[in-house]
Order: sequence, then structure tokens, then C-alpha cells
Amino acid sequence: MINKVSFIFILLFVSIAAAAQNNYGEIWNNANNHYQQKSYDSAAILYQQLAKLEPHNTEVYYNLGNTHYKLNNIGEAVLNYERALKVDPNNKLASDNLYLTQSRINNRIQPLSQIFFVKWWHSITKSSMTNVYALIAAIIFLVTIIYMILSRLERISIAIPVQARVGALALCAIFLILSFIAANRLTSDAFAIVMTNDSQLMQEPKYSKALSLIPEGTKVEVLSNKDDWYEIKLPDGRAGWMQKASITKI
Amino acid sequence: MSKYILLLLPLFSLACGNALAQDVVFSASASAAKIGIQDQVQVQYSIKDVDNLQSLGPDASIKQDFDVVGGPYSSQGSQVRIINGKMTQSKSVTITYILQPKHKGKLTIPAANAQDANGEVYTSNSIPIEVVEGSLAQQQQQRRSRDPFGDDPFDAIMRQRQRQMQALRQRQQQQRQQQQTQPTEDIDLGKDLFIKVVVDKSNVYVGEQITASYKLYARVPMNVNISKLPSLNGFWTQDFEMPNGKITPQEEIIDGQRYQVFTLKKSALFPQQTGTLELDPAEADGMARIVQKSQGRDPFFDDPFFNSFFMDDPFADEFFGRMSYKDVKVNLKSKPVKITVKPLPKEGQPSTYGGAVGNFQVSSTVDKTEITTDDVVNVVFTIEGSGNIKLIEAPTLDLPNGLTSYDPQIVDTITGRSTTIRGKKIITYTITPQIPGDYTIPPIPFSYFNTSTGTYDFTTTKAITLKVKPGQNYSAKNTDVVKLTDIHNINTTPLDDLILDSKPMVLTVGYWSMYALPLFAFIGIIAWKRREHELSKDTVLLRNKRANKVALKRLTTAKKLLEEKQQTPFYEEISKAIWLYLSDKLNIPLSSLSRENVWDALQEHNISKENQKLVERVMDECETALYAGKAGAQQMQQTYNDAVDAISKLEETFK
Repeated sequence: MINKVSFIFILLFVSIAAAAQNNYGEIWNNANNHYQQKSYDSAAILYQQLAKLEPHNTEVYYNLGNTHYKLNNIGEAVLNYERALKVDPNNKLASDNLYLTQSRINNRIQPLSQIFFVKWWHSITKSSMTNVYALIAAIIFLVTIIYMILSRLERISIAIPVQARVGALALCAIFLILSFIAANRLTSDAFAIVMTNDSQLMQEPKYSKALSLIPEGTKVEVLSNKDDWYEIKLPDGRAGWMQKASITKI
Repeated sequence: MSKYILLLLPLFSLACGNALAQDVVFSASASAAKIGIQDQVQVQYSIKDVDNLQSLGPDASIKQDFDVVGGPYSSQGSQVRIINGKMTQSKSVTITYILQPKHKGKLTIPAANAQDANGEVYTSNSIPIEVVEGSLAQQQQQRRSRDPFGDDPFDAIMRQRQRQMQALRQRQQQQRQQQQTQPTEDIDLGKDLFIKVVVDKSNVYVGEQITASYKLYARVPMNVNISKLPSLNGFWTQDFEMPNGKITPQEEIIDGQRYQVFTLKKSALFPQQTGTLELDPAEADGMARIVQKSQGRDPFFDDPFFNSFFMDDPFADEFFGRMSYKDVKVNLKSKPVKITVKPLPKEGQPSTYGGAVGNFQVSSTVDKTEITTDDVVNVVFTIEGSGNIKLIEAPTLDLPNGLTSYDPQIVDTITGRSTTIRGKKIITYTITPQIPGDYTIPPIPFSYFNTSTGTYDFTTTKAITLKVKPGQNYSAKNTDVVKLTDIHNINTTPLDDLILDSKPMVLTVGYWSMYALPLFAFIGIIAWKRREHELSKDTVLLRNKRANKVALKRLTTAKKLLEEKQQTPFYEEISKAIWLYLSDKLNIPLSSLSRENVWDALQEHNISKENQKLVERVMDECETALYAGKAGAQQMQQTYNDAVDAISKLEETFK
């Protein structure tokens, strides 16, 4: 009896999962069709349904970004390209489109050019590298520990100096740290996009005279938050407070 | 000159003689309590209800402190009151002097004396007055210019206009004073002088021009200025040009009456919100002169006393003329005007509509067409025409990729203010090219609402082509991106699955179990190895410990066998006890145990010779008994004792 019930449950579960999966594919194709027929509004709604689930699929964000670009929603387009690039920093299509979109921002705030080692550090710790580093670390660890086990069991007679073993473990730790940093880039929400044009940048987290008006689509770094305000840093290094409602985290 | 004396217009109406005796009131009043030394003060002595006044004049001491620069001007008034059916008549005589102080300080304007026919002398009050340096008010100065004794007539002329106004004001004061003593008819100027706001339309669209004129209608001489313009909330206003300087009146006939019409101000109003808007009243202040008939020839005029009184007044004729003017203060207010503002029709409204209402042309120019990426180019978009120029939103440029623009600069100029407000809105877009190439800036669409047709009209500019070459600062690193004129197309590969749960490997349990398992294995192996080692150490100790017990056990068995007199098993048991004990104690496996290594081991353990010999004797006895096969009960007992003795002695030394 119990077996029967559980069997039914399993069947149900599998079919629901299958239906859901099927559904995604359908929405996706639908959205693509709408896009190609230039009914971008409908396409945006459909892509949004998928993007809302926060999948780890670059193409969802990429296509949604394209749709918003076509609708001339600069802020939304930038946001989705950035999300795509967060999942896959090497996505050439997304970075090209992001570049084009950013060139359409009026009064764009030019980012400070980074010093070479900062660039270098960023490219080393980009989010796509996290698993690579994790694997390297694991392999180094496994090799070392297997050697140690075998030598303990006196099954192996090659003598490796202790320093080498310590060095291997240290290397493993370094790769683990790199992997963590890269993973943090993927999961962190330290960056955000300004979604409303001419959003006011305030000196303090309250309404006062605006320091500056920030164009839609500007990428800002979120430093802290207080009530309805985020403390943010602009690409050119200036900092201030903006209303939470006017920016969206990547 | 006479006009000003007119201020003190005496109204001679005296019923002589028969008036009832009444209380006499004789008072003096001055126009100011504090004056400057350059100022003049007007002093009035007024006596009421005196019959047959013979003389009236200030004390001679007045010359001490003051110069009499004007006067005496005399006036008379009479008032008839009927109280409880009883008629009372009061007459008053007022003489006025204009005085100028001779020196500063706290002076006193002396009292005046009056005498009636009965010889009764009346004295008025005196007035303290403070005289300070300079001039406090110009109120009194107007006297100077027309004062025959005035010492600076030219200065006075220069301030003519100002003084006239003051004079008007003063006249009014006088009039009020006169009205206290003499009732005058109420003056209704409503028909003779009024102000009107005229609008050409009262039902308009948002942004449509309304022409509002502020007109003054007058049938009497006047001097009026606008004091308050309507607050035009909800409108953008632009004033029309008015002819400079003099306003020339036009004639207009309303209800058979001829009016002079002055257009004070003309404005174009552009409503900015829908609904019923109200123009508040406009207000104007000023003076108007009305013609008034004097009260007829006065019997006083023939009175010898008064004749003598005015003898030296050269203006007496005019003074007593039949017609007189009266200047009155007027405050004019127009009626509020209501304007109904309709919203623009939604139908046919272009998506790019920017709020323009009127009639416009557009054009666009570019300052250069061949540029490098280091340059900027200005695209000037000009909207020209009539209408709500200032309220038009700047259209957004639809720039191709590779060109960026900043917020446009907008300049509004109003060029025509004749019947409609004409002007230009010049919108300058600054464009910076980032990528070399040939570009076309698409035409800028512009639409406006034409109020004459009630439809939206659409015009556009010509497209602009730009050739952009790489500049010196251009780096080609983005060239491949830049070649794109549009974004890459979407990714249409079928979506098999959404990867919903995708943590980086380093944050998953599975990944860390890759570390944990071998690590635990390693730790396990180390632990096992160590335990093994420990165990091997322990068995030596254990055997050592167990040795005595085993030996004792065997000895107990041997004792039993001894009692049962079983010779062979007894010796076997003793032999085993000894050998096994030694094997355990010396940690030598039984197989490799021999007499030689036992002696070596015993020697190593520092066992004494005696004990060694004892052990040897037990072994010999056992072997002899086992292989020779003869032993008595006595000997078995002896061997048993020896074995016990040997083991216990060895045990002592091993400990």
C-alpha cells in the first residue's frame, strides 16, 4: 500500500517536473518568436518570467537585455547585460551589447581607468574562474594526501621532502582563496544599476539639494544602506546617497 | 498759482447776525508737529460761532521764530444742523498761514487772538513744534515755488511732478477738512473713470495665445498709474511692446458717452493648465479732477471787513470764481476675467509631441560635417514661429550608435511683440563621436498644435550626414565592437533547462566532501597505524603480566598431578610452565626458544647466577624425569618446590 502511494507520488513529481521544464522551453521559444516579430513588449514580459527565477543561464538575461535595448529602456538593458556577464564574464555578445548600450547613455559618467594590476586582479578573479580554481585546489590536495597515505602505509618508497608537501598544501589553500573570491563576485550584490534617469545623488540619506543627477544605466557600487537609501560610489569615484527605489542590484 | 490757494477754498456762506449765541471754539492746528528747518508748516486758526468777528490774527510774536511765507488765507464755512427740530447754525472762519521756521529747536507757534463786535477777545491755543536740521518732508515745500517770497524757484521747478502729486494729496486733506464743516455731494466716478481688462478670447486650448489689454477709460482729467497687475497664475506671459513714453489716448464711445481710452499694458498670455483660470483684477491708483460748482457768490464778499481782509490778495478774483475743481483720490479696480482652458485633443496627437501650440517652422544646421573622434559637433535645431515658444520641450535626438550627445542647450528669444508673440527656440545638441565612420543623424520630427485649424501639424528637418575620422586620441581597441551598428541578435538555441540552483563549486558540500573523505581516510590510517603500534607494545606487557598467572595455573595443575602421582603429566606440566613463563617474560617466541638464548636473555635481564642455576636444575630434573622415566614421590615434590621457587624468584627480579 505504502509502496503504491509513494509510487504515485513519485510519478506525480516526475511529471510536474517534466511539465515545468517543458514550460520553460515553451516560454523561451515564445519569447524568441515575439522578439523576432519585433513585438518587444510581449517578449520582455516572457523573458522576464524566466529571469525572475534567477537562473544561472546567461542567455535569458542576454535576450532580455536585447529586448529592453530595443524598447529603449537603457537602465533595464544595462542591468540584464550585467547580470548575464555576472554569470559568464567571458560572454562576448553580452559585453559588446553592453558597450553599445552604454554608449547611448546621455551624459554618461566615464569610469576611472583602472591601474593595470587592478585590471589584472579582476581578470584573475573573475567569477567564471571559481570552479577552475576549486578543481585545481582539489586535485593538488588529493594528490598530496594520496601520496601521504601511501607513504604511511609504506606502499611507496619515493621520498618527497616535507617542505614540498607543505608547499603543495599552501598552493592548494591559495587556489581555494582565489576560488572563494571569484565565487563572491558571482554571488555578491555589491553593484547596482541606476534605473531612473536623472536620479538624485544626495550628500546625506535624506532629501536635500542634489549633488548631481545620475543618468539611467549608470553602474554604481553599493557601499551601505540606511532606511530607504543606499550609499553608493559612482564609476568616477564620487560617493553619495541614492534612493533605493531608483537603483536595482545586479 | 490760484489753484493752490484753491485748496483752502473758503466757502462763504454766512448768515449774519441773527444766529443764536453759541459756545465759541477757537483752535489752532498745524500740519506737522516736527519739521525740518527747510520745511514749511501750515497753521490754521479756526474760530467757530462768533458773531460779528472784528479781527482775527496771530500774536505778533509769530515773527520772532517764523517767517510768514504765505497767508493769511481766509476761509469761512457754515453748517446747519437740526437737532430735535431745532435749527442750529454754526459758522466758522479759518485763516491759514504758511510759516517757515527761522531757527532750530523747540518752538511754539503762538496763539491767535480774535475779537468780536462786542469787544470780546478770544484766544486760541498755541502749538509746540519741533524744528530739526534739514528737511523732513517735502510736503510743505510745494508752497515755496509759488511763494512770492520763495528764494529758490528753480529748484522747485525741478521737482515739479513730485510736488504736484503731493499737492494733490494735500488738497485732498484740505477737502476732507472742509467736508467736516461742509457737506458735499458724493462723487461717483464709476461712469467717468474705470479700468478694464480686455481679452481677445476667453475659451482657448492649453498653450494658445490670449491677448490681454489693460485699458483705462476716462472722461475726466486724471493722473492714474497701475498699482497692481493681476497675478497670472497658470500662464506664461509675455508683454507686448508699448509705444515708448506718452500713451496716446484713443476715443471710444460707450453708451453715447465719449471716453478717452488709454491702453496701459498689453500682454500675451499662454495658459499652462486646463480648467477655468481667472485673471485677478488689475488695480490703479491716482487722482482725478472733477468739476464742481462753487456755492454761489457770497454775501461776505461785500463785507467791508472781509474786503479789507483780502485786500492784498491778488488772487481774490479767481478765488471766488464760480467754477471750481476738486481733485479726488481714485482707486480703480477692474472686473476679474474668467478664461476657460480646454485640453489639447488626444486624437491625432503625435507621440513626439512636445507641447507646442501656435504656428512654427523648424530647421536644423550642423557646424561641420567632417570631423574626427577628437572633435565635437553642434547640431542646432531651431523652432521659429509664433506661439508658446518657451513652453516647447526640446525633442530628443535619435542618434546612431557611436555618437553620444549631452543635454541640449536651449535659448529662447522673442523677436516679435506686435500682435502675436513670435520668437525662436534654439536648441543646440553637442555631439561627440566615439567611433569613426559615416553617420546619418535622422531628421528631427517636430509637431505642433495649430489653433486655427484645430489639428496637429507635423514638420521635420533634413537628415544630417557626418563623416567621422579617427582622431589622435582614438584608440582602436574597441574597433571590433564599434563596427557593430546594432546589438548582436538574441540567442535562439532552445533552452533545455534553467539552471536554477548553481552555486559555485567552492560553496557546495560535495566539493568539500572531496577534501573531507581523503582527509578522514588519511587520519584514519594514521590512527590505525598508531593503534597498531600501541597494541604491539601492549602485547609484550600483557604477556609479561600474564606469564606469572599462566605459570601459577600450570603449577596448580602440576600440584594436582603430584597428588595423583601421575609422573609424566606432572613433569610435562612443570616443563611447560617454566618454558612458557620464560618465553613470555623474555619475549622470545616459543619456537625459537632454546637453552642458549634463554641464558643470554636471562643474562641480559641481570638474573643472578643462583636463580639461573635454579631454573637450570628444574629444567634438568624435568628432562631427566621425562626421558629417564624414573622419579620418586619425594623427587616430584622437590621439583615442584624448585619450580615454584624459580618462578617466584624470577618474578621478583623481572619486576
